[in-house]
Amino acid sequence: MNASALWGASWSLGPGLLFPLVVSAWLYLRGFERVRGQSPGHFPPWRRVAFLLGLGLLFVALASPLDAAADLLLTAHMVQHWLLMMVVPPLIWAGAPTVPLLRGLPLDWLSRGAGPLLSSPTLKRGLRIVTHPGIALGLWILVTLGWHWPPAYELALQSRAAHDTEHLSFLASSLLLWFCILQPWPVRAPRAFGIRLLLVVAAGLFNTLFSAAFAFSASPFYAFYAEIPNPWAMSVMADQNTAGAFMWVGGSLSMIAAAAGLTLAALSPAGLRGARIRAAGKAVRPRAPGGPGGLQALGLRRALQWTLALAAGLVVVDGFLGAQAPSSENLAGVLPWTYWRALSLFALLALGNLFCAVCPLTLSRNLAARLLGRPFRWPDWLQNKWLSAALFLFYLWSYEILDLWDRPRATAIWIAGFFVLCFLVEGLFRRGTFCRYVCPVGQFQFVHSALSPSEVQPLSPAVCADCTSHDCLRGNAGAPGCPTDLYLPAKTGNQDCTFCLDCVRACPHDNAGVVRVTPGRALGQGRAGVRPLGPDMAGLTVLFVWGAFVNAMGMSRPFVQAQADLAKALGISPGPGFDSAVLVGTLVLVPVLALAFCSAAGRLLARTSVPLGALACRLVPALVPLGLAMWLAHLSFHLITGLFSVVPASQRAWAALTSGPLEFVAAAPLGTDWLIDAQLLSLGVGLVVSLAVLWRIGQEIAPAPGRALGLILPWSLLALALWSLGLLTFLSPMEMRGMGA
Amino acid sequence: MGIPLGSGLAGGYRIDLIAYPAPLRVGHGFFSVLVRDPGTGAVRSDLGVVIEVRSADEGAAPGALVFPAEAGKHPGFYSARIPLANAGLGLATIRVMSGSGPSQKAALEVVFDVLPSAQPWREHAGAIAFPFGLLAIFVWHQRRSHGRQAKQGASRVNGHAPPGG
Repeated sequence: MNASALWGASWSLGPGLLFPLVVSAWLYLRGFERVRGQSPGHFPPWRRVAFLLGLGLLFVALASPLDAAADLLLTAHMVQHWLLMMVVPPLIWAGAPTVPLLRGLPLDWLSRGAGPLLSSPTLKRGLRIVTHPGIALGLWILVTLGWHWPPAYELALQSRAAHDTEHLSFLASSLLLWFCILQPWPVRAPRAFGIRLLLVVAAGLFNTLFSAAFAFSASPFYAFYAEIPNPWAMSVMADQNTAGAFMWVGGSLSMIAAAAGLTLAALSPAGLRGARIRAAGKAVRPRAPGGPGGLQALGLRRALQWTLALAAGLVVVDGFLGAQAPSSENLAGVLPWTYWRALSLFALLALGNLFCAVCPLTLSRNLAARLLGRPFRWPDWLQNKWLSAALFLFYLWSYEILDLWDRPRATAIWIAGFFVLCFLVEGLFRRGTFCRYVCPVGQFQFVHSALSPSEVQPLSPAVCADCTSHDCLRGNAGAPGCPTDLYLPAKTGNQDCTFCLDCVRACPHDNAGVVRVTPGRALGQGRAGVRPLGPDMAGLTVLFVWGAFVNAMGMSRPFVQAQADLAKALGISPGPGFDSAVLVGTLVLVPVLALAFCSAAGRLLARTSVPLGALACRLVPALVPLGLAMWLAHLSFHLITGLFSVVPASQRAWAALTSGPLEFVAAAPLGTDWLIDAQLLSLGVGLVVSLAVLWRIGQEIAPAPGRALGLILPWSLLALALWSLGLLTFLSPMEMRGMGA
Repeated sequence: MGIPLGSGLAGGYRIDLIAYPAPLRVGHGFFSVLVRDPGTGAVRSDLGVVIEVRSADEGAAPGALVFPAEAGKHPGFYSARIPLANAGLGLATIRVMSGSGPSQKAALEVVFDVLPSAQPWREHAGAIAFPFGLLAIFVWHQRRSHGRQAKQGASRVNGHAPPGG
């Protein structure tokens, strides 16, 4: 039998599955058309797509060759379970199927059959019980553990009836859990955002522990797989570990997507409806008594800040006291460099400047003010971004020359130093000085959050026009005003916005909130729409963009070799002095020369009289997408290849804390064959977005298309050159720092 | 650092072998060895380590290449840059030397796979060409928008209502 015949023979197209799927789809579509006409706001077209996609994936999970492969390979079985438990249920509930399915029934079936049944008090009481979040979660965990208990699992493999029961129970328990998380319409009183988020976190935590048991197991759980031939020549243990790794990643992705969706919905409570009403000049919602709830509540922010402060404390303690070598088994060598850098970038692109929103550094702000009294005024000559730029340059120098990433104690000193510096600045100077003028990490977040999909904005300009108290800026008894002196009606983009939401809490008209925006729309504009950016902001932006490439090139063999060859050609022995000179040269001198050349050439080609400096400051922000893409590609590489590295580091730290026996567990690697393509795609998207922004800014400066093209041509070539460097970096063999011959 | 290739207890030491790149390809690989005391986890930096590499394929020529692994800039690891001449299965034997010479007891064997040399530009041609495809779509979209705006502008100048209101 050839492969395609085998493929065809592996589909299970039995009526037991097909009939309910087809009938469900038909009822849903029929009912959808009826309710959409009456309630179009609740039934946009995407709901239909989501429901049908859910049914389609259910079909794939149970009828496609995946089901056949699941009998031979534990990994395939886990893919099937992931679809049944983490993908199909949320898609089905996203379709808000309750009303369409009922309305799809013939009228007399509804009035005489389904209607009286659904009105039954017993059924209602039962549904209330099983849709309680604690009970739904407990049931889901119980069903998962129960069916993965080896005797039950092997029974399901040997008996078709048990297998079907297993899948039905997975689907049913997951539908209950996801109902509690998503609370689809027409749920009249959805549960609080915090409860739903907690449910996602708890389910994610269980998934992590459950998957880790498979991923790091040393002996096979199910004897069944050892006794059957494996057509893929995969050992039983490799299959089991891979299954665990897949469940971990797949399940985590589902939970992260759910958390992101819930958070986005909570941050813009008016959603699309609010955007339309805002355009009409009306207030979105009446003032809520007792202050804003959900994600805007101060309590949630403080809880997250204290959680991160605790994590930072653990990192600092382990960094000082834990094993210094290998650094990959110290929390200070793993958590900041592998996880935190990449995750804060992901959060920035998915939601917004979450790093600053839950920054633990500012927790001590009020205590510092009480102790130190804020007696001084931040000097005028420092009221710019040059200090932050210098600190970021120092950070890059420490990373490259002192191998900061490989020295847990040095990392701990850096982190502790940050806390001390913030305490001193916030205690000696005005509130918000550290965030606005000092913190290099915050500046990194500000610049790159120009590409975030959300901003803090007034909901109705008309309300702001009538306001005379300006509480968003000055604060009031309820909340302090903006720490970085952003006046909400004049605010443009996310520059200097820490997403602390103090302005939202302070607004007496409830007229401020987080709204969705087109990413990149404010690129090139300063805090209050100022164009061009000041030279300090332009310099900072250049450092971030160039730093992205230099930081990655430092790990690529051709560039390391070129540096060694340069030292040889100059007759200089390579060492920290020469390396520092090269680093500073590539981060400062090269970009200054490049931008000067591009500005001069562009001005000549466009025949414009805009000063060179102003031209450079206008066009530099266009390179931000390319720089961000490079950071993302580089940092996500380390995150994905070191995804499980927290496990041995945590185990070592725990063993040291409890003086218990040290059990060696190697972090299981994820396959990285697809990673280079992902990096190149990310870089490609960054290039195109940068070119598009260059075109937009070019047209603003020189409206005639020919002149705009001439203006941006040198800059486009510069962007292309940077992209090529990135390409070469990712396609070249990596020179692991410290291991070169 | 690299991808763990194997680890185990040998001769009273806990030995871990990490290699980069992943996957290993014909060319060069960076092999790093971590030697630790199994009870305390203390890293041993006072030993001599050599890595022997031979082909594990059936019918391959016998004989192994021996590379001393040096304690390099990366704290705790002994590293060597090892030429990988042929694709196929390879066998790495890590020998930990005590003061009296190579100790046969402290030897860990790890099988690894070497893939053929990559032709990265060809392998990733799609991802490399992707931004140019995106750019072509952007240019087409811009030309279309400009053309439409120009038509509407000309209609206003001539005193006619622009098409479509």
